[in-house]
Amino acid sequence: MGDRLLDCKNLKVSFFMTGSTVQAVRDVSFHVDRNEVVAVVGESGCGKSVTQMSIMQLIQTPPGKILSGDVTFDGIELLRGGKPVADMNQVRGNRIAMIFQEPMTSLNPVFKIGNQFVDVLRAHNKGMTKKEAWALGAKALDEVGIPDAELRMRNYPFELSGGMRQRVLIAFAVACQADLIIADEPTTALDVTVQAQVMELLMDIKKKNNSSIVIVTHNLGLVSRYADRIYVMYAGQIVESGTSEQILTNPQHPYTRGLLNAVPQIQADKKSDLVPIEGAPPSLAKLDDKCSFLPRCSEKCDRCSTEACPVLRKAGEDGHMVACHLLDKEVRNEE
Amino acid sequence: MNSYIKYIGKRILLSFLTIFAISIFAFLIVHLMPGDPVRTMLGYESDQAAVDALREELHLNKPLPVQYYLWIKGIFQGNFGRSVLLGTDIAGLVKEKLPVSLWLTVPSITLSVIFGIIIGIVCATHRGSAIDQTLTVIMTTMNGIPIFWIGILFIYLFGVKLRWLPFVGFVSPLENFGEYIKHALMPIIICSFRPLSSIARQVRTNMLDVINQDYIRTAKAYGISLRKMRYKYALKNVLIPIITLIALQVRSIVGGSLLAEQVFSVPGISRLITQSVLNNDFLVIQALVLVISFFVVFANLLLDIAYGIVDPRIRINGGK
Amino acid sequence: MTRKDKIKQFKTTFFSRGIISYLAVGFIALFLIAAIFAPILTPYKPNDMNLRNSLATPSIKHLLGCDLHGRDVVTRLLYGARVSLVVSVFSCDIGVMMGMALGLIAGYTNGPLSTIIMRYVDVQLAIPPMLFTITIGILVGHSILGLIFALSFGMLPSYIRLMYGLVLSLKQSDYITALKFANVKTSKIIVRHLLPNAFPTMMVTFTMNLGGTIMLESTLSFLGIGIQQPTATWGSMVADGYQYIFDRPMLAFAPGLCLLLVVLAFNIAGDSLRDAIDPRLRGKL
Repeated sequence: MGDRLLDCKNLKVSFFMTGSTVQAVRDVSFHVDRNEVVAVVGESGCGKSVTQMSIMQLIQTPPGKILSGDVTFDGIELLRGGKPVADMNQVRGNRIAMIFQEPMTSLNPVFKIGNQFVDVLRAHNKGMTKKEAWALGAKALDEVGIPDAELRMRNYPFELSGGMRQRVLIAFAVACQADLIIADEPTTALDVTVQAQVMELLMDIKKKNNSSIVIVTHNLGLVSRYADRIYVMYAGQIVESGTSEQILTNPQHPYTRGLLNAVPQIQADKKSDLVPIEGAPPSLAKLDDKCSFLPRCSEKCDRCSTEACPVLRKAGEDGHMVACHLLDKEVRNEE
Repeated sequence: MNSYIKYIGKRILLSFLTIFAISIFAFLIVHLMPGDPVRTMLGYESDQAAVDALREELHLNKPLPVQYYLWIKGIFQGNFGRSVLLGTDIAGLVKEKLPVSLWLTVPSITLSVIFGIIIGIVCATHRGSAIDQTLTVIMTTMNGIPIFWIGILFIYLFGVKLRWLPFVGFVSPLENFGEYIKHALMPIIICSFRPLSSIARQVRTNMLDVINQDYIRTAKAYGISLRKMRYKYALKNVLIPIITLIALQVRSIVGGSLLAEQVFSVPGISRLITQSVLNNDFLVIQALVLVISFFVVFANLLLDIAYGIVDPRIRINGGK
Repeated sequence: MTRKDKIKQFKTTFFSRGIISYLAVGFIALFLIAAIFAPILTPYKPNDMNLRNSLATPSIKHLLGCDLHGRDVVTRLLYGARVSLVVSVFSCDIGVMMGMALGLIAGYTNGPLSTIIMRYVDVQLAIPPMLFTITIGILVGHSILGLIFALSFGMLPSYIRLMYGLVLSLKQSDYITALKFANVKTSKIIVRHLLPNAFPTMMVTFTMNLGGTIMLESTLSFLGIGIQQPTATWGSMVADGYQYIFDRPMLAFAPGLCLLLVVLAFNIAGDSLRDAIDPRLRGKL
């Protein structure tokens, strides 16, 4: 536990739109240890991306606003009580690198890949010459498996395919040798065949650079093979967290179970159908104090509709935590 | 590079076709006139001999394609015909008056582009602040202000009341630069109203739009300084579409100069248009439509080429 | 969202510019009232000359005084609003309808007709718009009808281009493809799906163009090549007043100010309408 790299406590983020307030992140706490792969899983719009963007302080303000939260990264305080305390430009890229969902639009269309590398690298190494930065960039491109790296450096983004562009973005992270890579839906916009390649690539880099990775995704199936620990998010809150094994084999929250049932599995002997979770996630602008999964829950009990939203608490060893009233019943049953 | 050459070739070809089409339009002005164009030009009391002479001069008795051929042939030889009203050679008139108009419109477009971009950036980077709001209100007002009216107000204020600037006539900068500035300052400013406000508004919108783009987020996420992000990463993306807008302003500044020359009694080409329209001097209008459109098409061609130079997507892909 | 919510949202976005939005709506209302009720609002006729009142200074009887021919300035302003309204509304109407029709043809058919229309648009756009309108104006004569024709002709290309672009993007959308596969008649697709989808954008452009058209009409009248004397138009009033700028600056000042306020009001209303109907159009229109 001493090897904690990123610690985020009580993060709250809201978006103030005309006429309504969207509570995108509602009191989220999580951490990442060194050399660890952490997955944050949830449906689109559950606040998982906003959480990561808030760590990097990349939320558009306005309309977004970080209301509270303490974030510490490798001993550096980034956020205290929702207020920024560190110079984020020293951390961004250099220590924490972020890979985004949209490789097609995440590179500047009117600059060569090489020049974008140079700017990224020289932002943190003032003494580095353009030539050195260029060479480092080419090396990084090579490392992420882009053939003819030197040639690609002279290309513009529109000359590369989507998978290629995502590799370039990953190469940014590689070249910066960041301690933590936050990958926000890194594979969503890519072809299925490319998805696995990109994941493998991320794992390689993790090994090589001894870095940690946070993968944000809605695809539980994809990360199950790679993640050490998983956080499940629903409607701006973490509803379950634990090691991958705990989440995958012993899910406690009905929502986690629902997610698992909705993952397609290729197993010829089993006649398991895909079970969708009925209904749609609640609007984050209209939340009450009840459990936000209640309207869609197939296992709800009386307490769910009478009592306030359950808090996250211990459900097992190694930090298995669940926010559900059912936990009490089951604990009681076991006794 | 190859496709860029193809792109430029296509632009040049299109420009030629456009000029050709405009020449037909200009040619037809005289022929689409309801009634007898020669009678209208000369006035209904003119004697038959003069009418016949002009008719002969314009080859009106020959079939249309032949007339067009003769007209174009004349133009290539520098012969635009003769102004009925002034009795002078049209080519000479154009040669005399075109520079005057260019001395007003070119500085006006240049200033609009420079200040439009600066104001747009200032507004976008200070979004919502008092500066932004004030400038936005000024730009909106400039866009809706009647140019002829503000011209008259300027004359009243700076010419009549304060006596700072002369408000009649024009002096070429080649003769006396100081006098040129004094005479041309107000017309230039007035011609700039519309282009300046359009460019400033568009730069502001584009900048705000670009700032929200994913690639700016990427730059931010990699710790690139705000300054570099704004003035290098964002600006190039903001300015590329502005080139199209400048091309549009080149077209509409003709309208501005029409008014500026009228209000400030500048003997330029636009004044000639107004005068010719009021006096049914169709041959001059015909020639001016062709000449002015030629300049506009040429300016647009240059801007298209420039577009290709700054936008790699066009330089490499030919804009596909 | 219920209908009521939608109307509420529309209102909040439309008036999001605060006092400026209300002023814009107010000025448009005043303009309409002036134009429609001009004969009721003033005891005078716009063209009644009374040389005893020549260049009269403002008084109770003549709030803004009289011009050279002793015509009441306020009366002429009211009737000028009438001309501006009629000319701009009619020419924009004709322009938008013709533009929509031609744009629809160009966008929906993919043949030589489409090419001809779009090439024509390119050519007309290469001619400076003011010059084009003036030239057409000469051809059709200096009557109000002629001016309306020239103005609507002049704005045609922008509407055609807009509609063409809309139709092209809609045509590629999946649901129109689905309709085609379902063998829905072309006429039905156009009337039931394409037009309603294009309508909001065209509405916004229409409103935005009204101000510009009023301006263009006044500009031409100012130059003396629009509507002819003695009809009262704001443009020609400024031109008349210009001659007496030393003694009676108000004669040129008042009509220009009316023009400025009305044009601004329409521009702002157009912007607000765009934001309320479809904010994605921001920066495009």
